[in-house]
Amino acid sequence: MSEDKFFDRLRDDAAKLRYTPQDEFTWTRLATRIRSRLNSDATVAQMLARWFRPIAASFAMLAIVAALSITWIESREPAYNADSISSNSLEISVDGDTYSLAE
Amino acid sequence: MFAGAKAIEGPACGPLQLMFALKSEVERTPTDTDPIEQRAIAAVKSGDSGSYDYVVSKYMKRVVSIAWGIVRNAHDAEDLAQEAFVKAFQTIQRFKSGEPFGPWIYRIVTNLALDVMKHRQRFRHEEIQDSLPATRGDRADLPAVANELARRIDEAIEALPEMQRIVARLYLVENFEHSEIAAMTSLTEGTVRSHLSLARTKLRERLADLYEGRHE
Repeated sequence: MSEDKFFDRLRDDAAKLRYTPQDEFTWTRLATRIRSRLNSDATVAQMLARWFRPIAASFAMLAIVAALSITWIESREPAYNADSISSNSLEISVDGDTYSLAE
Repeated sequence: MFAGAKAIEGPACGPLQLMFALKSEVERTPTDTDPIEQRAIAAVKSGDSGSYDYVVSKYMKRVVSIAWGIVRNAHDAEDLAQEAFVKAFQTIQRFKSGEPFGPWIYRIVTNLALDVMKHRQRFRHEEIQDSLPATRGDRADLPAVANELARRIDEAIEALPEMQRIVARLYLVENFEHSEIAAMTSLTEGTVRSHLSLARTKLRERLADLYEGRHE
């Protein structure tokens, strides 16, 4: 028998040596252990992913809304410039005397 | 059925498809891509840890078998499988989407098991014999060894030097190819072939009475 044929046959026969406990309890127990470890062993990155990202997203949303609101409010307010002030006279009364601020 | 497996069911992947995917895992080659697995991993990456149950249930048996083949102790193999899945979960963001999960988890568990073997070798002389967690040649956990042929093969593999034994077991028992073993053990493919060649010569000598007389 050639070396390769020997090894192929050996490979077929050795497949029986694979470790596979037949009781389902073993697998259920292992799956439960893994799940409980995953729930208890949250890494810093996972903590950040779980808490920081939603909070950061909320703040970002608030900042965007605030910026848009300010822009919108500013666009609706009348512009107070030098021309508009000078065109309207301003009168102030003090002790019966009237003072006028105008051109 | 695992909770995570249910969570990723959808119109395109009902319970039947899910069961089929799990049952046919043994026949798969590691390069196969499983759409349910891909969806589960994507869900895990986005924070749904429940979807990891599908991945665990799919690979758990193979991972335990690989670990057991190296450390030869059922408790240690289960602990290693647990550690491997936890480590894979914690570093899942580094896992490339679209790749099969199998080679990745096999590499993790093999490295963990090799670390255990190194640790055992380092401290073997300091330990009291009774407190050794496992000794090589521990067959109490292997029901299949009741078969005479399997028992002889197991003994012959276990008698090999450390790395030849591990490589031979991954090739012969776990049915991995050279390139897969190289990726799992961090050896070059040439080194894997070299270990296998030496192992083959020794195994042929030790099992000559079983194989030389058999008809081709």
